[in-house]
Amino acid sequence: MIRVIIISALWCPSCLIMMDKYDKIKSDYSNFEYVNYDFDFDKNKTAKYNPGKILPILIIEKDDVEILRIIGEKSYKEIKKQIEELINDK
Amino acid sequence: MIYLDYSATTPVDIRVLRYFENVSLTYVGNANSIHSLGKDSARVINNCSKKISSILKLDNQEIIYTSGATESNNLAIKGVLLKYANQSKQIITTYYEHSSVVASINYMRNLGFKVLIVNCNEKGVVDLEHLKKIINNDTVLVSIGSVNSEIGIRQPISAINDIVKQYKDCVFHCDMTQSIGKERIDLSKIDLISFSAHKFYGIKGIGALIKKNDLQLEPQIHGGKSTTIYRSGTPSLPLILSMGKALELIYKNFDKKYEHVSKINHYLRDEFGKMPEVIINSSSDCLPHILNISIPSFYSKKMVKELAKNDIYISNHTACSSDASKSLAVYALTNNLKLARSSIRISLSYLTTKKEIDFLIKQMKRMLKND
Repeated sequence: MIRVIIISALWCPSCLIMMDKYDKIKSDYSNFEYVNYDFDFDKNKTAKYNPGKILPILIIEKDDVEILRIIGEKSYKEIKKQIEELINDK
Repeated sequence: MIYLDYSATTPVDIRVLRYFENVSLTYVGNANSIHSLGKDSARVINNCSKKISSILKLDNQEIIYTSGATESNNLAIKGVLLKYANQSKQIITTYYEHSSVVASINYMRNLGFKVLIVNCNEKGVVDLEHLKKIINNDTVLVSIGSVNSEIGIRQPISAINDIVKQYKDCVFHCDMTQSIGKERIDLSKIDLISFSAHKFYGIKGIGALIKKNDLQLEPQIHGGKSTTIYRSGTPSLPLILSMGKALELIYKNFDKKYEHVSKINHYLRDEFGKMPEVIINSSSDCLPHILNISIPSFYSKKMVKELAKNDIYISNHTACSSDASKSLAVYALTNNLKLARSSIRISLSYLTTKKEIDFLIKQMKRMLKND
């Protein structure tokens, strides 16, 4: 079971930029489960991920174990490539 | 104390504070009341609005009093989009906006609006050709601030407005929080303008959204009719009048004040130019009131704290961002994490003296030597 956790904040311009790219990822991999957390409002839920201070954060978990973390602004191509590598590895 | 954080907030002008006290005691009525005390209050607020319109040379524009620029930005962005949502669904903004603009736009994005980021050149200035390329009949709002608060980048507001106005259903919102009281700028043709009084020696807790008369907004604070139908609540007469007073005072001898700040800015640039560790992020086209620099060998947070120990107060980045790790604006401008993490903002005033700058430089040199 693949779960994608996205941590972002409303005030964060990088998050604003990345959201469209994440939406594309969501549609490319519609079989994954997606969870969105707000950096400010969901601190109790995100603490276990040690989010740090750079946003946004995309975490991929397989069977509840983190297998990939992509931090900050990245191109759609770059994210896609990392996810594909991950899938092909399995 | 050496205060060099005027872009975060300014100390209140004592004349503004005294005026606030005076009008608080004189005009006790609620401006929404129909009795004579209420009418007196409504009359002085109305006169204050006329005075502000005259000082800022407004034309067919209404002043909506708010708690400050953050509320004004929220009202402008959400108010336009919720009012005109059926017409089109696209917003254009830049990477350099204040967190209250970014957050409002992001919030509306979550409701289904599409957001486009216009490109900026190597100085952080909007690429007008790119704006022309991405704006279309689906664009309902363009929100671009006149001056970036961290670096001082000035945007070509008039040229942007000309492009926006080619689309009759598109509204231009300009956050002018860092411009009002600091530079002369034509406000008369712009649909929506936000600002706060505490950036020009007024009292904290009052600001305005200036709106073209023919434009409608969906209110964000509902209630009865007040000085406007767009923002309910008992008008804060003392704060409103004190903002009028602060504006009146800041625009007195304005050219001299601007020239003084420009001279201090040049002096500071020259001094930093002699320090090989310092990289100046603000170009000479930026507003002279803001000078952003990076010292890659020194984390900005450490610099701010060390200077504060010597009673010198500056910022590492905008006071309104929760991301403590870096300046997002400097990162966007330089694409260099080291520069973004070591950037500091020195913001100047007509009150700033050469002696204060000399002390700042002396302390910075000492800190760099001991590091």
